[in-house]
Amino acid sequence: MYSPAVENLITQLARLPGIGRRTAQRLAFYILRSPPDQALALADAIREVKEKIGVCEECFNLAEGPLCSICADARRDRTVICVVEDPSDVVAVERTHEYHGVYHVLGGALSPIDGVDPEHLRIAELLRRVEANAAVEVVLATNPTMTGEATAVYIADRLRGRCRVTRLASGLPVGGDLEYADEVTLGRAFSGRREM
Amino acid sequence: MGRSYKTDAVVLRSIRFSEADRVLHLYTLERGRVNAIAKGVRKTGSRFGARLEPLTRSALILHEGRGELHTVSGADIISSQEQVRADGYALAVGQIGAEAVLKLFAEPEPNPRAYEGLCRFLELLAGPLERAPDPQHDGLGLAFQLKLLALSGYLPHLDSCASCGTAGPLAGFSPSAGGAACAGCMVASGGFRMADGAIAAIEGLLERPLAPVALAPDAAAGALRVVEETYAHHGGFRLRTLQPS
Repeated sequence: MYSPAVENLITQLARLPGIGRRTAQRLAFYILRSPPDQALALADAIREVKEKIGVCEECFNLAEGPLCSICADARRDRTVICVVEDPSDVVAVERTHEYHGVYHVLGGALSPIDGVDPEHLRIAELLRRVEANAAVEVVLATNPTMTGEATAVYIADRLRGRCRVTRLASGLPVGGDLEYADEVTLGRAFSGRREM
Repeated sequence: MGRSYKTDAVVLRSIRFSEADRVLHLYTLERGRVNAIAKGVRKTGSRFGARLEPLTRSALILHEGRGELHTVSGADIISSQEQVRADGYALAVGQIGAEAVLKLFAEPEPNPRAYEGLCRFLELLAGPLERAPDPQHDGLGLAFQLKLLALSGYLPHLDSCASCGTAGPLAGFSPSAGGAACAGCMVASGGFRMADGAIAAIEGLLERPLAPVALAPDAAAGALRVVEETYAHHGGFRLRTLQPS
């Protein structure tokens, strides 16, 4: 129905997550209608990101060069390591402006049923970093899901006696109503209540 | 036009899907195995919260549309299994049981006895366990898998040689014959030798009600091999959760 070039563009766009063929067609027509410099800037941005972005040698976050901007920042506290599942979690924690240590990106969470075992994650690298940095605290910020909790429990066991190991608190989301909270979340909020 | 229905269900597996959704593999009381999508469940503000985490037993409202995936439109926790998820060993045993149900009961056909067994297994996992050196050799986990094999029609024949019928002595197990085997039949049918007392231990696990049980190392190793070889021979699969990491 379309010329091969347009058909190819639609096919490539439809490979993106959350984009179906119909949305891909809309995007393709938008790109065709847009000024050449705008469309080519998008193509250049995709090419540039694929050519320049790799993973940080220290923490395995996304990096433009051997180290990510956080590991390259001398003001960050290297004795505190926050363990997250994916690079997108680093961005989420950074948005809080509450944390001034460094990160360690595991690359997923333990899930034997999906064939993800400890050797598939960057756990050995974490243990080496804890020794090398003489870390005083490891903050386990894996997701509060079954796989995230299992990963946190596994890492905490491996780090026992080496340094302080903490887990992000769980509880009620700010702005939500108590009556809509599920039992597990509310139960954790209760057990983690604090003095006022 | 689709329709909504209520069902009691256990979440066996949860897979990330799209931006913030999850695809759930459920075992339900009324319909057996059902796959459903929980939209927006990964957002912190999701109304489902922890209600759809793996191993949780929930009362669900599912919407059956035209597609293969049903949509979760409501969930209330019956049993959260929070203690199981906080204990690495119990969680690993729970995942073995969940994967066994996934593989052995893959069709949308109700099996109330399998569902009740799964709920009882999860209930027992949250209590005190007789811990084995590793989750694969756990007595409760092995007993549950043997009972699932029996419920799915693969009950191993253990009273006499499953191949020639002789009363004994029984030397090992033959997956192709479907049970215990005498020395001659074991070799002829490509079976494997089992330690003394292992067959009796498996019989005990099948006959007694499901409970945490401490098994002798030889008996646990024998029961694990029987379970694994039966899966492979009759089901054509191996459980990922039974592979040593």
